Amino acid sequence: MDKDKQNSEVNNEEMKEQHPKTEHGAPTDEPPTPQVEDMSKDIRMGNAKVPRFLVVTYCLLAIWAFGYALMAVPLNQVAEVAADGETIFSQSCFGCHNVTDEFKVGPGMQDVGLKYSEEELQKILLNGIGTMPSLPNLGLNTEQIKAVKEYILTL
Amino acid sequence: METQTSSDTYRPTKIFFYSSLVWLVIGMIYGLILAFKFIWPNFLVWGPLQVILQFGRIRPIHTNMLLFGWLTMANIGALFYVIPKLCRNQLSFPKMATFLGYFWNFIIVVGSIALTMGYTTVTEYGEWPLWIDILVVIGVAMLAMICFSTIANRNEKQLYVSLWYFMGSLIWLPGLYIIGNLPYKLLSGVPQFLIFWFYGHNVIGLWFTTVGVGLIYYLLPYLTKNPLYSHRLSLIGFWTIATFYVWNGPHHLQNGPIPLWLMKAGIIPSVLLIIPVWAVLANVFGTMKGKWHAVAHNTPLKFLVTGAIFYLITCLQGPFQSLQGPSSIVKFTDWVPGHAHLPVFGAFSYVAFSVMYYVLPKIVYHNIYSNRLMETHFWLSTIGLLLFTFSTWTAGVFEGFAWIEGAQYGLQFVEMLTAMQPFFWIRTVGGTLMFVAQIFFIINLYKTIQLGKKSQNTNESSA
Ligand code: HEC
Repeated sequence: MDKDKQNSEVNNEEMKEQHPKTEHGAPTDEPPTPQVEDMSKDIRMGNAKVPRFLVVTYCLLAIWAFGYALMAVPLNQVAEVAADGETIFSQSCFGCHNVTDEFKVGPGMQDVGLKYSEEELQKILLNGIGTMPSLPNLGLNTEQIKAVKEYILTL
Repeated sequence: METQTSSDTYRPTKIFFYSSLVWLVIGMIYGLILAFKFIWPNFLVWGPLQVILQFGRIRPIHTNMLLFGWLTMANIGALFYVIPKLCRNQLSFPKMATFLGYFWNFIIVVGSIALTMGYTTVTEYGEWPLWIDILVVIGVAMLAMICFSTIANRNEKQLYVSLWYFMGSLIWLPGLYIIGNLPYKLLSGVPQFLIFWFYGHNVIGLWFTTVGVGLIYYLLPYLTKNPLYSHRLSLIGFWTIATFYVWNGPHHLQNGPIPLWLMKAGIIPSVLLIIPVWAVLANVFGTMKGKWHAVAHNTPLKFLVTGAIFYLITCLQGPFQSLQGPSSIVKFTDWVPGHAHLPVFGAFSYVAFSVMYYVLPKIVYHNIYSNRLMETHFWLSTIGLLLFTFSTWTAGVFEGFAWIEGAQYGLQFVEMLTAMQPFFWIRTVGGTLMFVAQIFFIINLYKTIQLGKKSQNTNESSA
């Protein structure tokens, strides 16, 4: 092959370029730790077939891809958490609040919607008020806060 | 001096390599400060430092410095060495290449200053202000011109597969960088973040990965003295990575406010990336056949093979994380930095270490100073990285489940973070080991360079 010829030409050039003082007692047993060697050796390339297990993997992936494209549906984990206002109230608020206007630890919730605008209410629930903890601190997420707010507005 | 001229051909490579080492150290110091802030949020909160070293400012400094200062510069240095070798010629425009070395350092310096002063575009991995982005694009254009011209003037008919990868990377990088850094001005809302993530993921996949894989394909036959296992596999790998990678952006907005078809268009190609990754790995293992014993006492080969294995692990995690279910758990948790360090430190920095250990002796004409130091570098890096990644993955899974159950707000959130302290400690210890490892690395290279100079000088005077 003419590539070999090309090789040797380049070899010569590179020999010239190479610094003479290159031997630095690298172990001779092959394969060596990196040592100063000339770069002339061609990179050889094999031409092995694609291994069987890869072909199988590729086919499986292709089938999966079609299946996924057709069948996947969105995931909504938020919905799995209870977002029912009444339940949340009885679990998280009832210890301190009555649904009537009777005072417990905090004021009763009846007609709270007349006392506050929805925005003010949202602020109270998100930030807490006086000794009342904020609802996020009670472990409620955005959806749940919305649900419980809607619930107390009906009282 | 006379001696200078003989090594001049490698001047650009040397500038890039030596500067990359500086950025490696500084960038990792920033990383360590971040890690310590997880343990003591008031770490270094003192005088003006509390502004300059604010978490939000130094996180992008850490990422940009290591991605563009360390790894990119190491990669460019390697390109400037490897491309002429594969083309059997000299680097085109050597003066421009030298200039590019200084220019690139300038970019990193001004970019880091801008971030320190609080200017940011919030594009992940592209936080530098727009005017610096323009400098980067000019720099990348110069780089592409130098490399393509070298390849065009080659004296070797065959284009070895590494060159395919390099050419692909050099076409993709400017495109990515431009597309990724414009939406900060042009778009808003969800489309903006779709483009941000297009950029954020592809700068890893179509620059660091493809250059890294090209370098693996270059080094492996030399270090094993085996022929590359399969040309066909390497081409399958190249074309499939080119086809599938660009689709990866939307998987970062999985379960977010994007349409279902777009999620699928992000997930499916992410999973199909298994095709190119396994092709590379099959090629690596095929080439290694019969030479595994060499890994024991050849540290550069050890780095290379370990890097390839970390690449495999990363790319098993990646498709898994892109699926809706796993994504809903690990997203926004500490899992993610663990995953991110695996490719950029584990896989492709390891390839860069291997390249430097292999190339440096050839350009300074001296063997690596100490094998013991190389081994120390390897083991400290690996142990450190494993501590780092496993601690963040574990913490991430805990956090993810806790947050699904509602602990993402208020007091519960704080309690959750406090409970993660042990993992933050392990991460910091791992990070410290990784850092110390690099100090050994640099001392070793420094000694090698010094010895190379000395032997050259004595040689010159005795001649
Ligand atoms: C630990 C006891 C406690 C719990 C639990 C609690 N609150 Fe309260 N809440 C209070 C106290 C005390 C106040 C009065 C604070 C003040 O005005 O200083 C109050 C005030 C309020 C107010 C303002 C009422 C007004 O008339 O000013 C609203 C609305 C309210 N709570 C809603 C809720 C909801 C909804 C929940 C459940 C998710 C809840 N609270 C759980 C103690 C509690």
